[in-house]
Amino acid sequence: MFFLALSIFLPPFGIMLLAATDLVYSQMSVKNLARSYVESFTEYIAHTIDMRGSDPTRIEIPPYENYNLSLGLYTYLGLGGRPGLLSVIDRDGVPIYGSEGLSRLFLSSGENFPMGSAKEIYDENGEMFTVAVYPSGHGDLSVIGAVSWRDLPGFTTRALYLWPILMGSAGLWSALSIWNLWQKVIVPLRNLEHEISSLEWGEEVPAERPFDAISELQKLRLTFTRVAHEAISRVSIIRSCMSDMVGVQEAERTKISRDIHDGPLQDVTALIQRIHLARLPSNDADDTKRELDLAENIAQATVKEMRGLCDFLNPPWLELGLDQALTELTERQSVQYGVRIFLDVDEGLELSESVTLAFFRVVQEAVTNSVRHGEAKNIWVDVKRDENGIELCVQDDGHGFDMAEGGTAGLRVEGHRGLSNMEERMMLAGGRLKIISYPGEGTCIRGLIP
Amino acid sequence: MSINLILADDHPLTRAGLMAYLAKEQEFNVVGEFADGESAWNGVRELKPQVALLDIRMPGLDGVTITRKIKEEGLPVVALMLTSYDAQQYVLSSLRAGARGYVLKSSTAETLSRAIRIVARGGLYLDSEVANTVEEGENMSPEPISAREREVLLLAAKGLSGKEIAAQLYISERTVQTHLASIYDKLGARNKTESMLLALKYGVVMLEELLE
Repeated sequence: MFFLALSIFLPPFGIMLLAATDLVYSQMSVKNLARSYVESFTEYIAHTIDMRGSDPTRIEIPPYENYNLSLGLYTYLGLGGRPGLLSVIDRDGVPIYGSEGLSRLFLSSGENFPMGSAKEIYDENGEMFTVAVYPSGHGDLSVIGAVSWRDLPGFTTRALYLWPILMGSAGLWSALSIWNLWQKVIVPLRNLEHEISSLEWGEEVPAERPFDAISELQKLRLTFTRVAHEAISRVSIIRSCMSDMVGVQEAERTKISRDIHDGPLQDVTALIQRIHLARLPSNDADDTKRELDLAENIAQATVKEMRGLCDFLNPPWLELGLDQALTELTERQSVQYGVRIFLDVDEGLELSESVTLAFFRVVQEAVTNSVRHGEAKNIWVDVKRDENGIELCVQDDGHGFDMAEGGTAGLRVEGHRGLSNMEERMMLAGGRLKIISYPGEGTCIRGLIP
Repeated sequence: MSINLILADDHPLTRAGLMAYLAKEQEFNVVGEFADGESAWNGVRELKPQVALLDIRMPGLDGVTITRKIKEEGLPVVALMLTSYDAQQYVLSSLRAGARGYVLKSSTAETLSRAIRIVARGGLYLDSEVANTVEEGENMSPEPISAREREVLLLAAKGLSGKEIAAQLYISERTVQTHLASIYDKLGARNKTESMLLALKYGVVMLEELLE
C-alpha cells in the first residue's frame, strides 16, 4: 500500500519539481538574454558613436536588427519592434540624447556599473530594467542601454513561462486528485481493513461512526457490518444449541442418577436390611424363612427394575423394526400408566434406523406427555405411508394446552423440553413435527418424514 | 422407658425394612410412618415424637429442610437422618440444620437402635464409612490437636476458605494449609468434611461450636 501510494504520488511531485526548476531556469535565461541583448546593443551604439565622431548631436541610432540572433528572432517574429531604451550622457551626467527618463533612472540609482556588463535595477514604480553602460566618445560620453521587463516578455518569454506554469498546474491538479483519492479511498480502505482484521467475529460489530469515503466503500462497510451482525447471531444460535445439548446431557445424567438412586439403590438397601433381619439371633426358623423369602422377592423386583431402566435407556426391541418396537413400547406404557393405547402401523414399512429411532422416541415422549400433562385416558398411535411420505400421528383425549404462547421455543424457555426434543428428533431424521392442541380438545402430534 | 418415633422414607421397601428393624425393639414405639416430606413434617408437628427418622432425599420437603424447620420452631424433636449412601456433604448440611446424627439405611438393626438411643439421650451419632473406621477402637482417642489447629478447623467447618481463615487469624494461607494437613493427619481424615465429622465424633469439637 505504501509503495503503491508513493508510486502514485511521485510523478505529480516530479512534474511540479521539474516545472519549478524549469521556471527558475527560464527566468535565468530570460535574464541572461536581456543582459546580453542590452550589453551588445549598448556596445554597438557606443562604437557607432565613436566611429562617426563624437558629436553627440549627430548621432544617429543605427538599425541594429542584424546584430544579434536573439534580437533578430525578436524582429523576425515582428513582436514589438525595437525593445529597449537608449540614452547618452556626458561626463557630467547631462543627458545629451535619448530617453531622459533612463538617464535619470541611471543617475539616481547610484549603482556602479562595470563597463559593458548589464545589471537589473528598479525604478521608483518598482519596474525592473536590465541596464548596461558603455563608454564612448573617447571617454566623454556614456551610452546607457536598457530594456524594461514589462516590455520584454514577448511570445518566447511568455511561452517559456507558460510551459512550466501549465505543467505545474497539471502536476498540482493531479496531486490534489491523488490527495483526494488518498483521503476518500486509501485511508478508509486501510481503516476498513484494520477494522475487519481486528474484529472479534461473532462477538462484536463495527462501531457506529462517520465513515468518510466513496459510496462504494461505504456500501462495503455496511455489508461488512451486516455480516458481523449475522456472525453474532450465528454464534449465539450455535451457543444456545451447545448449551441445550450440554443441558440435555446433564438433565439426562441427573435423571438416570435419580432413577438409580430411587430404584435399584433403594431395592438393594432393602435387600441388605432383609438379610440383616434374617440373621437376627432372636429369630426362629419361620422368621428367618420369611425374611429370606422377602429378600428374594426384593431381589427379583430389583432385577426387573434394572431391566426396565436398561430398556428405557436403550430399548433392545428397536432392532425388530418400528411395528414391533412400538407394539412393545405401547404395551409397556399402557400397563405402566394405566391408559389405553391403540396402535396402528401400516404393514411393510421399511424405515431406516434413524427414522425408526426418531418415531420411537417421539411416541415415547408423546405418550408420557399425554399422561403426565394431559391426563389422557385413550391414546391413538398411527403410522402410515401416503403421497407426502411417512406420517406418525399421536392423538390423545387429554385436556390439551394453549399453543399460542410462544410455541415450543416458549415452552423450552420455561424448562419443558419435551416438545422441542421431539421436534429436534424429527429434524435430525430429516422430517418435521407439527403439534396441534387446544385447551380441552386433546393434543395431536404429527411427525412427517418426506 | 419407651422412645416415641416417626419414620419418613419415600421408598416402600426400605421403609418396610426399617419398620421391621424397629419392631424388634420393645422400647421403640413408632407413632407415625410417612412416605413424603410434607406429611412427615405434619407428623412431626402433630405427634411431636422424641426422635424423627428422616430420609435426606424425599419428594416434597427433604429431610434437611424438615430438620431446619424443627429447629426454627423449637420443637422438642430430635432429628436423625437416614441416607442410602455416605454423602458427607448432605450429612454436614443436615448437622448444620440441627440433626443430631445420621445412619445408613443399609446398616444393621443394632446400629439403628444404638443410634436412636444415643440421640434420644441427647448425644450425637455419626454413622458412615468415617464412623466405621473408628468402630473397632471405640475408646481410641486421636493425637490431641493444638488450640490453633482447633481454631482453623472450626473456621473451616463454618465454610470459610483458606484465604478467609488466613485473613481472620492473621496468618498466611500456607500456614492454614499446614494446620489443615496436620489436623487431617491427627484425625486420620482424608478431606475437610471427613476431618470435621471425625472431630465431632472424637469430641474434639462440639456440634454447638459448629452451629455458632
